[in-house]
Amino acid sequence: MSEIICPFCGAENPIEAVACFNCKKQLYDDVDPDASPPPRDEMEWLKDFRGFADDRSAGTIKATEADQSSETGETTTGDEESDVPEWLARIRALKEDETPAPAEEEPVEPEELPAYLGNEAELPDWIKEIKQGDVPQPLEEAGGDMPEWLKNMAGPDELPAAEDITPDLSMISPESGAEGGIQLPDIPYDLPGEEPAEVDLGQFTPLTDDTVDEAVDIPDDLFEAIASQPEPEKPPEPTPAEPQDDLDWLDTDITQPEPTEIKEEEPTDSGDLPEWMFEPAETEADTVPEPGELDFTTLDASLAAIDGENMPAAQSEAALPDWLLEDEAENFANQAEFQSEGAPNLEVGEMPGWLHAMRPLEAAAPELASPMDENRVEPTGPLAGYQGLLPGEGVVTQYSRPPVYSARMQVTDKQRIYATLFETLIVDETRVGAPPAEKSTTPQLVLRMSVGLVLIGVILMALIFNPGLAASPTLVPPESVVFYDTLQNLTAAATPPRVLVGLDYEPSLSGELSTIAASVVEDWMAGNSGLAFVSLNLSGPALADDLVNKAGARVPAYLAAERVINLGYLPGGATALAALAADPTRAAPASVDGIQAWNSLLLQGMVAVSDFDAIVLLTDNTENTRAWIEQVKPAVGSTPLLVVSSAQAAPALQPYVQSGQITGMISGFTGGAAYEQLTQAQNGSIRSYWDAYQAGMLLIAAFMLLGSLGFGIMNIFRRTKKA
Amino acid sequence: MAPDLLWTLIAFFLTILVLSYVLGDNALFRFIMMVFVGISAGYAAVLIYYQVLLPRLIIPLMTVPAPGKAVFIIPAVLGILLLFKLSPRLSALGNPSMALLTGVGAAVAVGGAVTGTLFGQISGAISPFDLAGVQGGGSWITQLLGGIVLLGGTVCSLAYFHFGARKKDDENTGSQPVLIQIPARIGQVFIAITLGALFAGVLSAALAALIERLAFLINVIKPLIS
Repeated sequence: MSEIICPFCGAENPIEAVACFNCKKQLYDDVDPDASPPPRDEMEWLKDFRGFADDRSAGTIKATEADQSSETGETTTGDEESDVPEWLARIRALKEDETPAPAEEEPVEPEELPAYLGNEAELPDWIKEIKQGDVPQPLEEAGGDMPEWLKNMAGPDELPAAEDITPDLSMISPESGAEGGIQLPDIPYDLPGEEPAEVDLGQFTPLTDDTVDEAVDIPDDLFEAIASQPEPEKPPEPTPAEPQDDLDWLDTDITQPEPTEIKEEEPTDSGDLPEWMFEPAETEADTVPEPGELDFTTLDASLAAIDGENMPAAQSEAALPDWLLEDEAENFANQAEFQSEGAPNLEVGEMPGWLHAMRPLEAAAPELASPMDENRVEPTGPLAGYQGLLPGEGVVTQYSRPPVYSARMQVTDKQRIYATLFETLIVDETRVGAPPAEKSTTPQLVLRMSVGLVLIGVILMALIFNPGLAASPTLVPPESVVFYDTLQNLTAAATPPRVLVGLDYEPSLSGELSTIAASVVEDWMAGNSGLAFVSLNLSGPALADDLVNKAGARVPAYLAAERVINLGYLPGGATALAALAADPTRAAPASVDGIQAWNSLLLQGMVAVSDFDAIVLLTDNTENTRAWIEQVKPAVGSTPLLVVSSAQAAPALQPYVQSGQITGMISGFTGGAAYEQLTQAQNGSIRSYWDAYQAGMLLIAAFMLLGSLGFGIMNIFRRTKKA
Repeated sequence: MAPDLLWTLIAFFLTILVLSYVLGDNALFRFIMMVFVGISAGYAAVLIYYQVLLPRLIIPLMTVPAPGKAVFIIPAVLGILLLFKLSPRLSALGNPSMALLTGVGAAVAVGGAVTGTLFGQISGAISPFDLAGVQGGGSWITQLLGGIVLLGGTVCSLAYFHFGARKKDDENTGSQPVLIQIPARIGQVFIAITLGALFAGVLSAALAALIERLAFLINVIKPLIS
């Protein structure tokens, strides 16, 4: 067992000691010196009390305690009532008046005993002995008459006598407590709305020996200390009417109905809604003011308003706090005061036109959507029951007509003058005259067909019959002469020339160019020239093959497979020509057949364009010819550039001939015929077509002349009619 | 049937169908036009693959060693980016390729025009006045007159394209100065002659093509008849 050492004298004290037995000073600072524990001898008594009680009979102990409680019970009750608030005391008093007195459950009075108890002759022997002796007997002494099973259940020392139980019941009843009995501290007398009698009796009726022991454990000095305290003043007895009023708020508190607004706003199908949807309503119900602060007049007014048609307004007004209602009332009062002061002196004004035109859109709009009701409660959907939500369907369903704007244009005089001038300028353009008579297309169609058929017929006749009426050209253009001289000089050299042939003409003009170029290519083949074809046109490689095949057929001794190489298509236009002029081996590395062209026997040892003996260009395109002149000619230096062009490109290329950038040129059938004239070719292709060409040109000239005369005569007749 | 004869007959009928345009626009002519367009496109695609992409891009990428592949990877990437021009949404990815093509093409064209055309034409306009070297065996007078006509025609043609006018004080309209009006009129004559020559050349070229086609038809029909 631990001990407590006194901090003042150092003496050892038992653990339950409060004050030092040596110096009599307090061992603890927080212990009230007045509430000092009982002396050592008294504690000894408490410790031995249980053993003492075992030896004593239960009836004796209860009798003693009953006496003690009768002495201290009134004091204890008075002390407890001094701590009870007034309202609780009134409740208790009222309940005591209303509820039947628990004294009816007091121990049975002798006169109320049943008849068999009053007649001693009918009593059993053991009861008579008890009544005569009036001394509790141990169970062992009376156990002779008890059955064996009852002895085993009760035990020898724990089962009290029947007489000892009755005083205990009276002791723990409220009535007895009020009169001086032991007041059990665990009884919740202060619970509102509950009757103490029901709780007490129901709970403590099955009295056991433990309960008895607890009651017996109360020391005697405790009763003496309680009895020594002064008796507190009893609270004033309430009047009979006051408890009734106080009970009203109790009834209101207990049976407080749910706020009417929440009940009205609850959705009809509450079973489908989650539980959290009802939280606002529960919150409002929880925030019901204190009973003393309830304003029943406001509540009645709200209920009355709910029944009427103005339910939302009444709800909002009832929901508003008092301070807000007062503020609104003040605002209304101020407005009324302002109107009453200013209204009599003001006249109804008219809005000026300019101000009317400047007013905002909301003022000009005839109808605007009704403003959103902030107190609107969402009736359906997952947000049902909430206020102040943004309206969804209202914006869509509510339609307002668009505002009407004025179409009148406000212009100044200067602007009006300018507009008038502009209108006079375009008035002729906007004037719609009578639709012209639809002309028949038949004469034009007939005329066009007649011209075509006549031309084709004439050409066919010239080709078929070949009359030889057209004379060969006697005047040869100087560029054709230069072309011929250059070719003759190169082919007459000891070493066969190697010629780079650029083929840039479309298949549609191959009839002209291939005919002209055939004579030139035959002359190059006759001189055993090496020909390397390259083209800026996609169809160039095929045209080159066709040209070589036709010309090679006329020169059987020429080995085209060895002396001709087709470098194919050169993509990139002018850029490709620049690359060709810079490094032909990289610009056109391989032939159409996939052979490394610059390693072939024909082109072996050549690294630049200037290594070619001549450059011959077959073209019907002015732009491509100019690109050749601009990109390749500066790179080849003195290497001659010979051009065989279509008749349509010759006029545009003539300046380059005059400037010397084109060494020689043959253009069209005329140039081809002149070249054949120079070469003295007897079976030239140009010669076979010359009659047809001349006939066709003559016919075209005749058509142009006839057409000009015809339109001239028609204009003369028109002017005559107008005159 | 020999292949040459077959192709000759095909060419014969195709030529007949094209010449049917003399009778007006018809379905046969439109059919032949569509055939030509389709054949040209297919031929161009095959030609570009076999003569451009395969020997100049694909084969070098597969055969050239690694250090030299970069030269071919760059144009390959640029070419692939150029394909995004087919999509309006992704066409911006092809802008670098187009910028390269346009920039290089413009630089090459401008440089060639300056050195090849501008300087060459100026030199050609001056050369007739070099009386020391008379060309063509003509007299110096003929050469000088030719040079004067050429120079006059060039200046007058340029004057025709001068559209500036000086505003008069009392009128809202303006008029060209007399020193501009007269050469412009003369230049208009030169321009008309030039356009006439171009038209004659186009007509002559078309007539030559027609003659060659009709001669082909005759050459096809003549053996059949005989």
